[in-house]
Amino acid sequence: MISVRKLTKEFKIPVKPPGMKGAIRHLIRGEYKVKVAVESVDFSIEQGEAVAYIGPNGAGKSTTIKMLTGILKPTSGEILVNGIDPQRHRIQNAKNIGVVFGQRTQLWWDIPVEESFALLKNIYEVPDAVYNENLKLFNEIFGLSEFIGRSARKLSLGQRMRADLAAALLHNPSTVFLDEPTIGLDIGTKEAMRELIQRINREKGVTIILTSHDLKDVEDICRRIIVIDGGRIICDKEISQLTKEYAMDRGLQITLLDMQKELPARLLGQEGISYAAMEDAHTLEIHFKPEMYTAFEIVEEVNKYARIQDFRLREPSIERMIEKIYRSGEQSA
Amino acid sequence: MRTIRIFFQMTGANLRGLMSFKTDFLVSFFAGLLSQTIGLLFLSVLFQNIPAIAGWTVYEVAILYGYMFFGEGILTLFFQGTNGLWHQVRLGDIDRYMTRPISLELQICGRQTNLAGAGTALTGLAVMLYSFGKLQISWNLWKAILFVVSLILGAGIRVDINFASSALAMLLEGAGGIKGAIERVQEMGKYPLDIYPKVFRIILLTLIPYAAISYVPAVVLLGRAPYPYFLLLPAATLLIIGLRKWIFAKAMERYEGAGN
Repeated sequence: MISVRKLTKEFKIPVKPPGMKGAIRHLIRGEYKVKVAVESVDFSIEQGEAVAYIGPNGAGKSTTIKMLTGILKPTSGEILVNGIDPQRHRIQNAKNIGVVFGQRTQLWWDIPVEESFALLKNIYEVPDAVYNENLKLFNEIFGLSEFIGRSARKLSLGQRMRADLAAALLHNPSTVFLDEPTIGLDIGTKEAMRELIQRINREKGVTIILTSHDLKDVEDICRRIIVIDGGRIICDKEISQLTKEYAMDRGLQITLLDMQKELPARLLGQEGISYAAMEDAHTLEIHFKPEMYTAFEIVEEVNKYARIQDFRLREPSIERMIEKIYRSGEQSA
Repeated sequence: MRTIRIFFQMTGANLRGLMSFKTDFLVSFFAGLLSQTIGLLFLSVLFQNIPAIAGWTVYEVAILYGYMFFGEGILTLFFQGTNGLWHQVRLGDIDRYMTRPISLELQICGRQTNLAGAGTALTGLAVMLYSFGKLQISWNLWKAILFVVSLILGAGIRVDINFASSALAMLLEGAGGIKGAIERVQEMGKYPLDIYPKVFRIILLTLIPYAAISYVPAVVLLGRAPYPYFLLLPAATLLIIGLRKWIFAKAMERYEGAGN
């Protein structure tokens, strides 16, 4: 169980004027400006939930994860992970959590994966029975035995990430933080990663907090989405509810013969049209409420402003929903 | 105890990792031997031209050299990880350490092992034992105990100075040169403290206590100072541990992670 209240993180960014002169002036004066990375964030996550924590680059995702894992100290606010303040009681918190940073390995670079695991077994004081049982499970899903004797340095990215995920789960953590766990992986490896994460969530009741730009990860693993943008939470909902809300809308993709930059803004002003944007120079994406318009009426409406070459109906996807959430967040901000 | 066990397990794994590059493994061991031999060559050339430094003969100064080599050897062999903390911050290593349920210091120390240190430490021991023989030191149980204790505390001081200066560089966000500058001060530990001005003597016994590694135990063992003088060594040890802890805590306080 995780509870976060009024969590804020500010960074001091050094202001360095350009050139040597500037560097020296900074050294003497030491000017800083404050950047708010996470601003008064609230949420709580029950044990066994699988939550996607998503947002565009620089939205504050990683900063939040780092505060939840005890790496960064919050500027203000309160975090409790399984009743423990992760920053004040780092070691105690570390025993209960598993962490995967997709862009960096948790393994020792020069020693065989097997030995990395043995080290982690001692560090986390994992009982033999648990260790062996886990290795068996990871082997089944990941085929670890193929490369467990090799050093991390010699693994392919796919193998390394499998080993990394396994390493983070060896000690049966009750909560697992996954920061971009599938970044850069091929489809097969992604599937295997998702399968293991799903299984530990469903079979063992492990809490999952996932950040990913791959929304397939989110769809497969998570039941709830928290969206952060500009350091603030702009949406926190069950995926099923989100689908209900947004699936009410129909989508049309219309290919135009003429360039129409101002068209989306004009359409968005009308009631019953929830989303309109140019996908590229000639493709208009438009979402509308079916109780107010028929698809044909929308096409007619667009036809008033531009010549239409082609159009097709679009299924609402999670990607579209997120995009809408980002946009509505921007509007309200 | 658990901490020590995990430390040696890390070091063992590091060594096995190193052994996978066989040539490199051997070369670094002998490189350690060779680099210190060059230092000794310098010492012998020096003493061909002058009879003594502040009343210290060649074998007496060689003992100071030996202590410094030994400390450096242990540092390089087991605690190489205390180098380049700033670099570890940027690589995100510190982030990783913080998600594990053991002390940060332990993980930093156990990060890297370098066999060149074994060569250096052995050279240091050999030089000391040989010089003690040449000087015909009269040994008793007390002196033997003090000798062993001085090797352990001395190596500890060396590691702590390195850790502290590395943490200082981290605190100053990589401010280049600070660690290198402190590192080079160790040369001063290879000569009798008597030759330096008073300010340096105080610094070398307190803030950057290289003299506590070599000079303090040497004067006692050589009979140049009474036994109680030896207490400066544990005092300097406590001081540098405190200093290291304080600087590291400050550096961690300002730690903002490696970003992404």
